[in-house]
Amino acid sequence: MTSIEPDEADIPNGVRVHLAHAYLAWLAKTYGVDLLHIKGPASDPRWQGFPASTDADVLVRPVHMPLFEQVLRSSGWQQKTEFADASAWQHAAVWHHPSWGYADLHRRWPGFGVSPDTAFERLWATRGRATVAHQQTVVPGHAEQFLVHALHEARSGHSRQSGHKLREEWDSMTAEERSGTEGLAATLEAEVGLAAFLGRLGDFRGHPEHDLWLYFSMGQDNRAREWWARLRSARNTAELVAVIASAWRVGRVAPGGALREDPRGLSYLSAQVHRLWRLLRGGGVT
Amino acid sequence: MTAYRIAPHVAWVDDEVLPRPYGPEPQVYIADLPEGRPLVLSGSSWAIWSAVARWQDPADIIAAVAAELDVPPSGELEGQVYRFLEQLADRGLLERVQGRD
Repeated sequence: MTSIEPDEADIPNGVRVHLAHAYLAWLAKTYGVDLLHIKGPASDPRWQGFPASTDADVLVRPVHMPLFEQVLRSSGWQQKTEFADASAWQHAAVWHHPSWGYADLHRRWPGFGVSPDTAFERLWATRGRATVAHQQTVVPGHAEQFLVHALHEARSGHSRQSGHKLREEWDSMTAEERSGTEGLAATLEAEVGLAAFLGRLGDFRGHPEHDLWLYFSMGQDNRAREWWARLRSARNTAELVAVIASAWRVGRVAPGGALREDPRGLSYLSAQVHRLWRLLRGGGVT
Repeated sequence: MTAYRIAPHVAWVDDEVLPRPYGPEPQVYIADLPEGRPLVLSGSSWAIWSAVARWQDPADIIAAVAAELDVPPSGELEGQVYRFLEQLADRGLLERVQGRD
Protein backbone atom coordinates (compact mmCIF):
# COMPACT_ATOMS: atom_id res chain seq x y z
CA MET A 1 0.00 0.00 0.00
CA THR A 2 2.39 2.65 -1.21
CA SER A 3 2.22 5.80 -3.28
CA ILE A 4 4.07 6.12 -6.50
CA GLU A 5 5.79 9.21 -7.78
CA PRO A 6 5.10 9.09 -11.49
CA ASP A 7 7.41 10.19 -14.21
CA GLU A 8 6.16 13.41 -15.71
CA ALA A 9 5.32 11.70 -18.97
CA ASP A 10 3.01 9.26 -17.22
CA ILE A 11 0.53 11.88 -16.12
CA PRO A 12 -2.43 12.01 -18.51
CA ASN A 13 -2.69 15.43 -20.04
CA GLY A 14 -6.32 15.71 -19.01
CA VAL A 15 -5.23 15.35 -15.39
CA ARG A 16 -2.35 17.74 -15.80
CA VAL A 17 -4.65 20.51 -17.06
CA HIS A 18 -6.82 20.22 -13.94
CA LEU A 19 -3.77 20.41 -11.68
CA ALA A 20 -2.37 23.36 -13.64
CA HIS A 21 -5.57 25.34 -13.11
CA ALA A 22 -5.36 24.62 -9.39
CA TYR A 23 -1.72 25.67 -9.25
CA LEU A 24 -2.33 28.91 -11.17
CA ALA A 25 -5.22 29.71 -8.84
CA TRP A 26 -2.93 29.18 -5.86
CA LEU A 27 -0.27 31.44 -7.38
CA ALA A 28 -2.79 34.17 -8.17
CA LYS A 29 -4.22 34.08 -4.66
CA THR A 30 -0.78 34.07 -3.06
CA TYR A 31 0.54 37.02 -5.04
CA GLY A 32 -2.64 39.07 -5.36
CA VAL A 33 -3.06 38.63 -9.12
CA ASP A 34 -6.55 38.95 -10.57
CA LEU A 35 -7.13 36.26 -13.13
CA LEU A 36 -10.08 34.38 -14.53
CA HIS A 37 -9.93 30.71 -15.42
CA ILE A 38 -11.54 30.09 -18.77
CA LYS A 39 -12.44 27.09 -20.90
CA GLY A 40 -11.56 23.53 -20.04
CA PRO A 41 -12.32 22.16 -16.58
CA ALA A 42 -13.04 25.67 -15.24
CA SER A 43 -15.95 26.19 -17.59
CA ASP A 44 -19.57 25.05 -17.47
CA PRO A 45 -19.45 21.25 -17.86
CA ARG A 46 -21.87 21.46 -20.78
CA TRP A 47 -19.34 23.40 -22.82
CA GLN A 48 -16.20 21.57 -21.96
CA GLY A 49 -14.79 20.95 -25.35
CA PHE A 50 -14.00 18.00 -27.46
CA PRO A 51 -11.17 17.23 -27.68
CA ALA A 52 -10.24 17.99 -24.08
CA SER A 53 -8.12 21.02 -23.24
CA THR A 54 -4.40 20.58 -23.63
CA ASP A 55 -3.48 23.57 -21.49
CA ALA A 56 -4.82 25.75 -18.69
CA ASP A 57 -6.30 28.96 -20.08
CA VAL A 58 -6.41 32.03 -17.88
CA LEU A 59 -7.25 35.66 -18.60
CA VAL A 60 -5.07 37.95 -16.51
CA ARG A 61 -5.91 41.52 -15.50
CA PRO A 62 -3.64 43.42 -17.92
CA VAL A 63 -2.03 45.57 -15.25
CA HIS A 64 -1.16 42.41 -13.27
CA MET A 65 0.42 40.58 -16.21
CA PRO A 66 4.04 41.70 -15.60
CA LEU A 67 3.83 40.56 -11.98
CA PHE A 68 2.30 37.22 -12.92
CA GLU A 69 4.94 36.61 -15.57
CA GLN A 70 7.61 37.32 -12.98
CA VAL A 71 5.94 34.96 -10.51
CA LEU A 72 5.74 32.19 -13.12
CA ARG A 73 9.35 32.65 -14.06
CA SER A 74 10.52 32.44 -10.46
CA SER A 75 8.34 29.34 -9.96
CA GLY A 76 10.10 27.38 -12.66
CA TRP A 77 7.84 28.14 -15.63
CA GLN A 78 9.37 28.79 -19.03
CA GLN A 79 7.79 31.05 -21.61
CA LYS A 80 7.37 29.20 -24.91
CA THR A 81 5.70 31.79 -27.14
CA GLU A 82 5.19 35.53 -27.13
CA PHE A 83 1.93 37.40 -27.41
CA ALA A 84 2.86 38.51 -30.90
CA ASP A 85 3.06 34.87 -31.98
CA ALA A 86 -0.46 34.00 -30.88
CA SER A 87 -2.94 35.13 -33.50
CA ALA A 88 -4.26 38.09 -35.42
CA TRP A 89 -5.15 39.53 -32.02
CA GLN A 90 -1.75 38.82 -30.40
CA HIS A 91 -3.71 37.84 -27.35
CA ALA A 92 -1.95 35.02 -25.53
CA ALA A 93 1.42 33.53 -24.62
CA VAL A 94 2.20 29.92 -23.81
CA TRP A 95 4.16 28.92 -20.72
CA HIS A 96 5.34 25.47 -19.59
CA HIS A 97 6.36 23.81 -16.34
CA PRO A 98 7.75 20.26 -16.06
CA SER A 99 5.23 19.36 -13.35
CA TRP A 100 2.20 21.45 -14.28
CA GLY A 101 2.29 21.28 -18.06
CA TYR A 102 1.15 24.14 -20.27
CA ALA A 103 -0.61 27.38 -19.39
CA ASP A 104 -2.03 29.83 -21.92
CA LEU A 105 -1.87 33.33 -20.49
CA HIS A 106 -4.34 35.68 -22.13
CA ARG A 107 -3.93 39.42 -21.92
CA ARG A 108 -7.05 40.04 -24.00
CA TRP A 109 -9.88 37.97 -25.44
CA PRO A 110 -10.22 38.01 -29.24
CA GLY A 111 -13.49 39.59 -30.22
CA PHE A 112 -13.81 42.13 -27.43
CA GLY A 113 -13.54 45.55 -29.06
CA VAL A 114 -13.27 47.49 -25.80
CA SER A 115 -9.86 47.89 -24.21
CA PRO A 116 -8.44 44.81 -22.45
CA ASP A 117 -8.65 46.64 -19.13
CA THR A 118 -12.32 47.49 -19.66
CA ALA A 119 -13.13 43.97 -20.84
CA PHE A 120 -11.42 42.35 -17.85
CA GLU A 121 -13.10 44.68 -15.39
CA ARG A 122 -16.50 43.88 -16.89
CA LEU A 123 -15.87 40.12 -16.61
CA TRP A 124 -14.43 40.49 -13.12
CA ALA A 125 -17.50 42.36 -11.90
CA THR A 126 -19.71 39.29 -12.43
CA ARG A 127 -17.17 36.61 -11.59
CA GLY A 128 -18.08 33.34 -9.99
CA ARG A 129 -16.31 30.31 -8.57
CA ALA A 130 -15.57 26.87 -9.91
CA THR A 131 -13.83 23.97 -8.23
CA VAL A 132 -11.03 22.40 -10.21
CA ALA A 133 -8.90 19.65 -8.68
CA HIS A 134 -10.63 20.46 -5.39
CA GLN A 135 -9.30 24.00 -5.42
CA GLN A 136 -11.32 27.18 -5.87
CA THR A 137 -10.83 29.04 -9.11
CA VAL A 138 -12.32 32.35 -10.19
CA VAL A 139 -14.31 32.17 -13.42
CA PRO A 140 -16.49 34.52 -15.47
CA GLY A 141 -20.22 34.55 -14.86
CA HIS A 142 -22.46 32.22 -16.83
CA ALA A 143 -23.46 34.67 -19.56
CA GLU A 144 -19.90 35.93 -19.83
CA GLN A 145 -18.61 32.35 -20.14
CA PHE A 146 -21.04 31.71 -22.96
CA LEU A 147 -19.81 34.76 -24.86
CA VAL A 148 -16.16 33.87 -24.28
CA HIS A 149 -16.76 30.35 -25.60
CA ALA A 150 -18.86 31.59 -28.52
CA LEU A 151 -16.13 33.96 -29.67
CA HIS A 152 -13.57 31.19 -29.38
CA GLU A 153 -15.70 28.82 -31.41
CA ALA A 154 -16.32 31.52 -34.03
CA ARG A 155 -12.64 31.90 -34.76
CA SER A 156 -12.01 28.16 -34.64
CA GLY A 157 -14.23 27.32 -37.55
CA HIS A 158 -17.61 25.61 -37.34
CA SER A 159 -16.38 22.08 -36.86
CA ARG A 160 -16.01 21.37 -33.17
CA GLN A 161 -18.41 19.37 -31.06
CA SER A 162 -18.14 21.93 -28.29
CA GLY A 163 -19.56 24.51 -30.74
CA HIS A 164 -22.63 22.33 -31.22
CA LYS A 165 -23.19 22.30 -27.46
CA LEU A 166 -22.99 26.08 -27.39
CA ARG A 167 -25.47 26.37 -30.24
CA GLU A 168 -27.84 24.08 -28.37
CA GLU A 169 -27.48 26.42 -25.41
CA TRP A 170 -28.32 29.43 -27.59
CA ASP A 171 -31.31 27.64 -29.08
CA SER A 172 -32.62 26.82 -25.63
CA MET A 173 -32.34 30.41 -24.35
CA THR A 174 -35.42 32.48 -23.81
CA ALA A 175 -35.80 35.68 -25.81
CA GLU A 176 -34.86 37.61 -22.69
CA GLU A 177 -31.70 35.56 -22.19
CA ARG A 178 -30.67 36.04 -25.82
CA SER A 179 -31.29 39.74 -25.50
CA GLY A 180 -29.11 39.75 -22.40
CA THR A 181 -26.29 37.97 -24.25
CA GLU A 182 -26.55 40.37 -27.17
CA GLY A 183 -26.51 43.28 -24.74
CA LEU A 184 -23.38 41.88 -23.12
CA ALA A 185 -21.79 41.57 -26.56
CA ALA A 186 -22.67 45.19 -27.27
CA THR A 187 -21.15 46.30 -23.97
CA LEU A 188 -17.92 44.51 -24.83
CA GLU A 189 -18.08 45.52 -28.53
CA ALA A 190 -18.18 41.85 -29.48
CA GLU A 191 -21.23 41.96 -31.76
CA VAL A 192 -19.33 40.95 -34.91
CA GLY A 193 -17.73 37.93 -33.27
CA LEU A 194 -21.05 36.81 -31.81
CA ALA A 195 -22.65 37.23 -35.22
CA ALA A 196 -19.89 35.05 -36.68
CA PHE A 197 -20.71 32.36 -34.13
CA LEU A 198 -24.43 32.57 -34.89
CA GLY A 199 -23.90 32.54 -38.66
CA ARG A 200 -25.14 36.11 -39.03
CA LEU A 201 -22.05 37.87 -40.32
CA GLY A 202 -24.12 39.17 -43.19
CA ASP A 203 -25.66 41.62 -40.71
CA PHE A 204 -22.23 43.24 -40.43
CA ARG A 205 -21.21 43.38 -44.06
CA GLY A 206 -19.07 46.47 -44.45
CA HIS A 207 -17.96 46.41 -40.82
CA PRO A 208 -14.14 46.63 -40.57
CA GLU A 209 -14.00 43.30 -38.69
CA HIS A 210 -16.32 41.44 -41.06
CA ASP A 211 -13.65 39.94 -43.30
CA LEU A 212 -11.44 38.87 -40.39
CA TRP A 213 -14.26 36.99 -38.67
CA LEU A 214 -15.38 35.51 -41.98
CA TYR A 215 -11.88 34.25 -42.58
CA PHE A 216 -11.55 32.51 -39.22
CA SER A 217 -15.10 31.27 -38.93
CA MET A 218 -14.79 29.55 -42.30
CA GLY A 219 -11.61 27.80 -41.18
CA GLN A 220 -9.64 29.18 -44.12
CA ASP A 221 -5.91 28.76 -44.48
CA ASN A 222 -4.75 31.47 -46.86
CA ARG A 223 -2.34 33.73 -45.08
CA ALA A 224 -2.53 36.51 -47.69
CA ARG A 225 -6.28 36.65 -47.20
CA GLU A 226 -5.80 36.66 -43.43
CA TRP A 227 -3.36 39.56 -43.56
CA TRP A 228 -5.65 41.57 -45.83
CA ALA A 229 -8.50 41.00 -43.39
CA ARG A 230 -6.27 42.07 -40.50
CA LEU A 231 -5.38 45.26 -42.33
CA ARG A 232 -9.05 46.01 -42.97
CA SER A 233 -9.92 45.38 -39.30
CA ALA A 234 -7.55 48.07 -38.03
CA ARG A 235 -9.68 50.75 -36.42
CA ASN A 236 -7.13 53.54 -36.44
CA THR A 237 -3.70 54.49 -37.72
CA ALA A 238 -1.94 53.03 -34.68
CA GLU A 239 -3.56 49.62 -35.18
CA LEU A 240 -2.78 49.74 -38.91
CA VAL A 241 0.86 50.46 -38.21
CA ALA A 242 0.92 47.63 -35.67
CA VAL A 243 -0.47 45.15 -38.20
CA ILE A 244 2.04 46.23 -40.84
CA ALA A 245 4.89 46.04 -38.33
CA SER A 246 3.87 42.56 -37.23
CA ALA A 247 3.93 41.43 -40.86
CA TRP A 248 7.68 41.96 -40.83
CA ARG A 249 8.22 40.47 -37.44
CA VAL A 250 10.06 37.16 -37.25
CA GLY A 251 8.94 35.05 -34.34
CA ARG A 252 11.31 34.07 -31.58
CA VAL A 253 10.03 30.54 -31.21
CA ALA A 254 12.81 28.17 -32.18
CA PRO A 255 12.34 24.54 -33.18
CA GLY A 256 11.77 22.63 -29.94
CA GLY A 257 9.69 25.46 -28.51
CA ALA A 258 12.24 27.60 -26.67
CA LEU A 259 12.35 31.34 -27.12
CA ARG A 260 15.43 32.54 -28.93
CA GLU A 261 17.02 35.93 -29.33
CA ASP A 262 15.45 38.28 -31.87
CA PRO A 263 16.65 37.04 -35.26
CA ARG A 264 19.12 39.40 -36.81
CA GLY A 265 21.24 39.67 -39.94
CA LEU A 266 21.23 36.53 -42.03
CA SER A 267 18.68 34.78 -39.79
CA TYR A 268 16.21 37.62 -40.28
CA LEU A 269 16.88 37.80 -44.02
CA SER A 270 16.50 34.05 -44.35
CA ALA A 271 13.17 34.12 -42.54
CA GLN A 272 11.84 36.90 -44.76
CA VAL A 273 12.95 35.12 -47.94
CA HIS A 274 11.15 32.02 -46.70
CA ARG A 275 8.01 34.03 -46.09
CA LEU A 276 8.14 35.60 -49.54
CA TRP A 277 8.55 32.18 -51.08
CA ARG A 278 5.50 30.91 -49.21
CA LEU A 279 3.52 33.96 -50.29
CA LEU A 280 4.42 33.41 -53.93
CA ARG A 281 3.37 29.80 -53.59
CA GLY A 282 -0.01 30.87 -52.18
CA GLY A 283 0.65 30.21 -48.50
CA GLY A 284 0.85 33.87 -47.56
CA VAL A 285 2.92 35.64 -44.94
CA THR A 286 3.28 33.78 -41.63
CA MET B 1 -8.21 9.85 18.75
CA THR B 2 -6.57 11.44 15.72
CA ALA B 3 -8.74 12.09 12.73
CA TYR B 4 -7.53 13.03 9.28
CA ARG B 5 -8.58 15.34 6.49
CA ILE B 6 -7.09 16.34 3.18
CA ALA B 7 -4.91 19.42 3.59
CA PRO B 8 -6.40 22.54 1.99
CA HIS B 9 -3.31 23.17 -0.12
CA VAL B 10 -3.57 19.80 -1.87
CA ALA B 11 -4.96 19.63 -5.40
CA TRP B 12 -6.18 16.23 -6.46
CA VAL B 13 -7.85 14.74 -9.49
CA ASP B 14 -9.56 11.41 -9.77
CA ASP B 15 -9.04 9.89 -13.18
CA GLU B 16 -12.80 9.72 -13.63
CA VAL B 17 -12.45 13.22 -15.11
CA LEU B 18 -10.80 11.64 -18.11
CA PRO B 19 -13.03 10.67 -21.04
CA ARG B 20 -11.63 7.14 -20.95
CA PRO B 21 -10.03 5.10 -18.16
CA TYR B 22 -6.27 5.62 -18.14
CA GLY B 23 -5.37 2.37 -16.45
CA PRO B 24 -6.85 -0.94 -15.38
CA GLU B 25 -7.97 0.44 -12.01
CA PRO B 26 -9.06 3.79 -10.57
CA GLN B 27 -6.28 6.27 -9.89
CA VAL B 28 -6.05 9.61 -8.17
CA TYR B 29 -3.37 12.23 -8.82
CA ILE B 30 -2.33 14.41 -5.90
CA ALA B 31 -0.22 17.55 -5.92
CA ASP B 32 0.93 19.59 -2.95
CA LEU B 33 0.62 23.25 -3.89
CA PRO B 34 3.11 24.65 -4.63
CA GLU B 35 5.56 21.76 -4.45
CA GLY B 36 4.32 20.12 -7.63
CA ARG B 37 5.55 16.65 -8.61
CA PRO B 38 2.21 14.86 -8.51
CA LEU B 39 1.80 11.49 -6.87
CA VAL B 40 -0.49 8.81 -8.19
CA LEU B 41 -2.40 6.48 -5.91
CA SER B 42 -4.09 3.33 -7.13
CA GLY B 43 -5.60 0.18 -5.72
CA SER B 44 -5.84 0.16 -1.94
CA SER B 45 -4.08 3.53 -1.59
CA TRP B 46 -6.68 5.01 -3.94
CA ALA B 47 -9.37 3.50 -1.75
CA ILE B 48 -7.89 5.10 1.36
CA TRP B 49 -7.64 8.52 -0.28
CA SER B 50 -11.21 8.25 -1.53
CA ALA B 51 -12.34 7.38 1.99
CA VAL B 52 -10.49 10.33 3.55
CA ALA B 53 -12.20 12.59 1.02
CA ARG B 54 -15.52 11.59 2.60
CA TRP B 55 -14.66 10.74 6.23
CA GLN B 56 -12.36 12.08 8.93
CA ASP B 57 -12.82 9.51 11.66
CA PRO B 58 -10.39 6.60 11.22
CA ALA B 59 -13.10 4.06 12.06
CA ASP B 60 -15.24 5.39 9.21
CA ILE B 61 -12.24 5.49 6.89
CA ILE B 62 -11.36 1.87 7.65
CA ALA B 63 -14.96 0.77 7.16
CA ALA B 64 -15.15 2.57 3.82
CA VAL B 65 -11.86 1.05 2.68
CA ALA B 66 -12.97 -2.42 3.70
CA ALA B 67 -16.22 -1.98 1.79
CA GLU B 68 -14.42 -0.67 -1.29
CA LEU B 69 -11.92 -3.52 -1.28
CA ASP B 70 -14.65 -6.03 -0.39
CA VAL B 71 -12.71 -7.37 2.57
CA PRO B 72 -13.74 -7.70 6.22
CA PRO B 73 -12.41 -5.03 8.58
CA SER B 74 -9.52 -6.66 10.41
CA GLY B 75 -6.70 -5.68 12.66
CA GLU B 76 -4.27 -6.11 9.78
CA LEU B 77 -6.29 -3.83 7.51
CA GLU B 78 -6.63 -1.30 10.31
CA GLY B 79 -2.87 -1.25 10.81
CA GLN B 80 -2.17 -0.82 7.11
CA VAL B 81 -4.67 2.02 6.80
CA TYR B 82 -3.28 3.82 9.87
CA ARG B 83 0.27 3.54 8.64
CA PHE B 84 -0.66 4.93 5.24
CA LEU B 85 -2.65 7.77 6.78
CA GLU B 86 0.34 8.66 8.92
CA GLN B 87 2.62 8.47 5.89
CA LEU B 88 0.38 10.89 4.01
CA ALA B 89 0.16 13.18 7.05
CA ASP B 90 3.95 13.18 7.44
CA ARG B 91 4.18 14.33 3.82
CA GLY B 92 1.78 17.18 4.56
CA LEU B 93 -0.93 15.82 2.29
CA LEU B 94 -3.29 15.13 5.18
CA GLU B 95 -3.90 17.15 8.32
CA ARG B 96 -4.26 15.52 11.69
CA VAL B 97 -7.31 16.82 13.52
CA GLN B 98 -8.74 16.09 16.92
CA GLY B 99 -11.33 13.37 16.42
CA ARG B 100 -13.97 12.14 18.77
CA ASP B 101 -12.70 9.94 21.63
